[in-house]
Amino acid sequence: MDWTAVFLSVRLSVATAGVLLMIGLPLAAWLTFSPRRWKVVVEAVVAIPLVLPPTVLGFYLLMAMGPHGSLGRAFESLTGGRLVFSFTGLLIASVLYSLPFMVQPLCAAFAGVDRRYVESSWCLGVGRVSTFVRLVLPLARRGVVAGVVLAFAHTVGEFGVVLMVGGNIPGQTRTVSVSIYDDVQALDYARAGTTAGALLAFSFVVLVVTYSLQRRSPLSWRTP
Amino acid sequence: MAHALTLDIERAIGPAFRLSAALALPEEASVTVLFGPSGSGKTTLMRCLAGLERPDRGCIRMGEETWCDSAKKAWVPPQARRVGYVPQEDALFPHLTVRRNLEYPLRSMGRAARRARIVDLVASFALDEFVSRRPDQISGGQRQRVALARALAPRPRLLLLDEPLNALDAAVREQVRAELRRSLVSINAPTILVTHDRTDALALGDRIAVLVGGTIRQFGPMTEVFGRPADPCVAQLLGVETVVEGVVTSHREGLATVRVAGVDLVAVRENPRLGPVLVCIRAEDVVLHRPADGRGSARNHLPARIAWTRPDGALVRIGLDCGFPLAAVVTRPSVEELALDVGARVIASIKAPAVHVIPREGMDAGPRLTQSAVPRADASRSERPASGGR
Repeated sequence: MDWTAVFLSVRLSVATAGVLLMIGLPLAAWLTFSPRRWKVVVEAVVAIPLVLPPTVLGFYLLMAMGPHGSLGRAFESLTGGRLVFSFTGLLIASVLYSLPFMVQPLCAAFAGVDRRYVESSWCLGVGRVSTFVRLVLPLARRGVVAGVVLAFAHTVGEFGVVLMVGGNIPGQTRTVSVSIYDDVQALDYARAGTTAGALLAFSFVVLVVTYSLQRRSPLSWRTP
Repeated sequence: MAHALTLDIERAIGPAFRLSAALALPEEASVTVLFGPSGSGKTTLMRCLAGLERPDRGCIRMGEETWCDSAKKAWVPPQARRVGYVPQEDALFPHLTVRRNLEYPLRSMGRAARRARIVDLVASFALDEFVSRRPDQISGGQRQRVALARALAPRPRLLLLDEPLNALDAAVREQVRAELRRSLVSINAPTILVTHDRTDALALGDRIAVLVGGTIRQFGPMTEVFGRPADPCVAQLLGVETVVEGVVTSHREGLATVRVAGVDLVAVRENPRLGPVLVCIRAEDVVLHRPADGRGSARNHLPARIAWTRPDGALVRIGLDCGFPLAAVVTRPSVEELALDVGARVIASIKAPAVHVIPREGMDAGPRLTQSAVPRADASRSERPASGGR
């Protein structure tokens, strides 16, 4: 098994989930609670990676992050480094690609918080931001956990975007899914099979742990 | 006259309904019941007061502060109003224990001050038994107490209670009602309480504002509004014509003796507390006899003089003076047969089960004559807003 690829995948997924949590919380809060009409446009933009083929997203990101793209030029003038075929570039691509997997569970969870609780909190003299942190977040914690797990798992499993933006550099951009693809191309089915099996077991364990941490699985039939 | 709270607001709710309410609460801290049928705009009015909804037009003033004025574009958000608002179904935070619910609004307080406040609230609302349980682990009556305690924790300037007893079943309702009245009397903030239940209104309120179809039809002291409804719609909604203050003096075998203005009435009531009550009698339940007639089975026979009569369709409404004002309604043929003219002496019989007794805390002890069933043109109407035809 390609342990370098495994560690890289885990590193990328943890970083992606972390960055997404920081972006996703305010974005989902705004999408849920804002009375603005045009927020549907933002909603649609966030959801685009769900329907777009990863290669299309990867293509545009490659163009933007390349040495002649605006993003790539800006990054290069700031840090002197390259975005494409680097871990940072891969992280940016993963964040965009997994954005709906974080934002949508969060939105659903925020919308599920009873309006009466929020309004009661305001009447008790607690400000809007404070109410969000002290009341909405704890009540929506299942949605937060679901978003983090989905973003993490989705990043572990991504393939098309990684190949387009990151290429195949061991230790830098070769993730688990790319390494399996490589092994199959090299007809090393045994090695590909081990990695694939490990990935399958890992995904299963993560989901079981998550659901048991949430105490009630989303599928349980609640007693009233 | 200085007012604690004045409001004059309009708000359209959907295409067909418009709330258009004006009200001026006097300065003393008392309980105002906002009474009206479902869909009359009670909750919308409360939400406008709490700052959760914006009126389309109008203004709300609390003391010196303007909370909302559409002409000056003034607006105070709910966080800055210091209103204790308990919505229907209490809204206790489900993920926090009772203690944490009480602490929630007190974050900005110092540690010691906060602890003292919690101790104080827990003691005065008798919460110590379940202070470390979550809201879904306590009973409806207990939740109601916690909700009230939490709303009062930051010492609000105005308390708004929306149907506080609605979620309770009949058995606990009466007990919680008595507790609630005791708490409301002891707190030092004006209270507006929404209900559509007549017994709740009578037991909990000092004043009543009747809201029908989005407008406040009448506002005044409880006994006055019940005794002299401003229009037939209010009269039909209130349903009880005679509301007088009395005192339960004794009880035996399920029958209570209530003294009203020197007259003893017998009422059916198991184990009432001795003390001040409101006595309610519907006009339909009063039977009139000539003084010479036999007594019949009714427990209460009151010698009375007819003070006024007023035709009402096939019926005639009659105001009696029997030590306290009592309203009766009889048919036209009866008026002719019994010669029921103003000044005539009659006997009014009321069966004991028709004498409704509503216990009330915080009322002056001792019976006091109230002017409920007597229509007077000169009555002071200063507390009534320009209702209806604003």
